[in-house]
Amino acid sequence: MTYTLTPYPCIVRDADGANIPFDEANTDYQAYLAWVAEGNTPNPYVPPPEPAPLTPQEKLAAAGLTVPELKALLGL
Amino acid sequence: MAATLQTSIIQASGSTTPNLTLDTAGNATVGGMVVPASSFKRNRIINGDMRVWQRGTSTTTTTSAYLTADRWASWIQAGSGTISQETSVVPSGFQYGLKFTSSGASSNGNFYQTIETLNCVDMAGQNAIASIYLAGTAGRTVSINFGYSTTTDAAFTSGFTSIASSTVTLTTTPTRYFITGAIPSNAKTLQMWIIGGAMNSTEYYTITGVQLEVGSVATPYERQIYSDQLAQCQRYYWQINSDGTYAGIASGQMNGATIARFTLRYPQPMRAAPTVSFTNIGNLIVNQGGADLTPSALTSYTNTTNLLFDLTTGTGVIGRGSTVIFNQSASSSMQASAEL
Repeated sequence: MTYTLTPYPCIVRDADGANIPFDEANTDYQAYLAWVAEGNTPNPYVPPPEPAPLTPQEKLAAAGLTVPELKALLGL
Repeated sequence: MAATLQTSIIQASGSTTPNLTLDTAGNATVGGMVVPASSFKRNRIINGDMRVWQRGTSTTTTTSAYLTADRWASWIQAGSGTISQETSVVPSGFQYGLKFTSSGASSNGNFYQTIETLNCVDMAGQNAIASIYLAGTAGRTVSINFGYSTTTDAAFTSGFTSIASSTVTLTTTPTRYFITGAIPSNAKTLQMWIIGGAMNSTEYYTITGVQLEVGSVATPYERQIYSDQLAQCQRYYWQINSDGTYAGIASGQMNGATIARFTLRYPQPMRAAPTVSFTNIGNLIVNQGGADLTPSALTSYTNTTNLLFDLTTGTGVIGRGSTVIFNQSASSSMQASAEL
C-alpha cells in the first residue's frame, strides 16, 4: 500500500486512486495514519505538467471565431 | 388453562377516561401513548433484510471489505467462494438474503455489521437480543455473535469482544435464531457477526432479517419503507453507476487548462468526510464547450455534506463551463464511503 499527497487536505491511495480526506473519523484515514506510524512516507505531490501554449488558431477556435469573422470585426 | 377475557374498555383506577377501548371489528384504541420497552426504531441493524445493494450483488473477493449488500462487510476467511444476493431461499415476507457459497474444500465466509456509537450507546448496560433468519446446506453450522468495543466508532476490523454467541446447525428452510446477552456499561460500538463453518464446494448459507434490539424477547423484524432504508445506508456509502446513458454527474468549469472543477452535494449527510473514488475514471467524459476531454486523475476537498473535486483532463479552455458525465458505452462509477 502506498499513498500520494495532494494540494488538498486529502491523500490519494495509489492502488485505486481514492481520495482520503483528513478526517480522523474516516477509517481509511485511520489506516493511513497507522501506515505512517509504521515509518512509511507518502509520495510527494507532483503537479501536472503545464500544457503547451495555445496556437493562434486554437485561440480563435476557443473564442468561436473564424478568420473572416475576425477580419470583419477588425475592419480588415 | 387458556381463557378469554371479554370486555370493551380497560381503564386504570384513577383515570377518568378509558385507557384501552376494544370494538367488535378487532380495533384497539389507546387513550394515551403506547410506550414499548424499546423505541419504535427498535432494530439497530441497518439493511437487516438486505434490500439495498449499492455496490453490486456478487463478489468472489476474499479480503475483508464492504463489497455487496449495504452496511455488511464480508470476509472469505478460508478457501474460496462467492458472496451474492439470494432471492429464492428467503423466509416468507422477505425478498432478499445475503449468501455465501463455497467454491472449494473447507471454505468459510463471514459477515459483519458494525453499529456506530450514535446508534447504540444507549444500549450500554442493558440486555440485548439478536435475531436472524438462517438457511443453508443441511447439517452445516454457522456461528452467530454480537459484541462490543470500548472505542467510539470502532472500525469493523478493529476487534470486538464477544457478548453472546451461538452455533446453530442449518436446515434448508429459513429459520429464525436468537442470542441474548448483557451489554457492558462501557460499550461504545457494537458489532454483529456471522461466522460460517467449513463448507465444501456448492455448499452455502444465507442470512436475512437480522435484528439487534434492547430486551430479552425478540420482536418481529422491524419493517421500513425502502427509501428510508436507502437513506440510512447512504449515511455510510453512496455510489452512482453508468447505466448506458450519458447521465450527468456534476457541472462546473475549467479551473485550469487541464483541470476541470466540480461540486456536488451528497444525498445524505455522511457519518464522516468520505473517501471518494471513481472506478474506470478514464471512461468518464468531461464536456467543455462541446469538446470532450478524458479525465485521468481525481483530487478532492470534502466534508460530510459537500464535495469539491478536480479532474485532470486534456487541454481545455480556462473558465469555460464543463460537465462531467458517464459514457453510455463504457462503464464507470463514483463512490463515497464513510463506513466503519
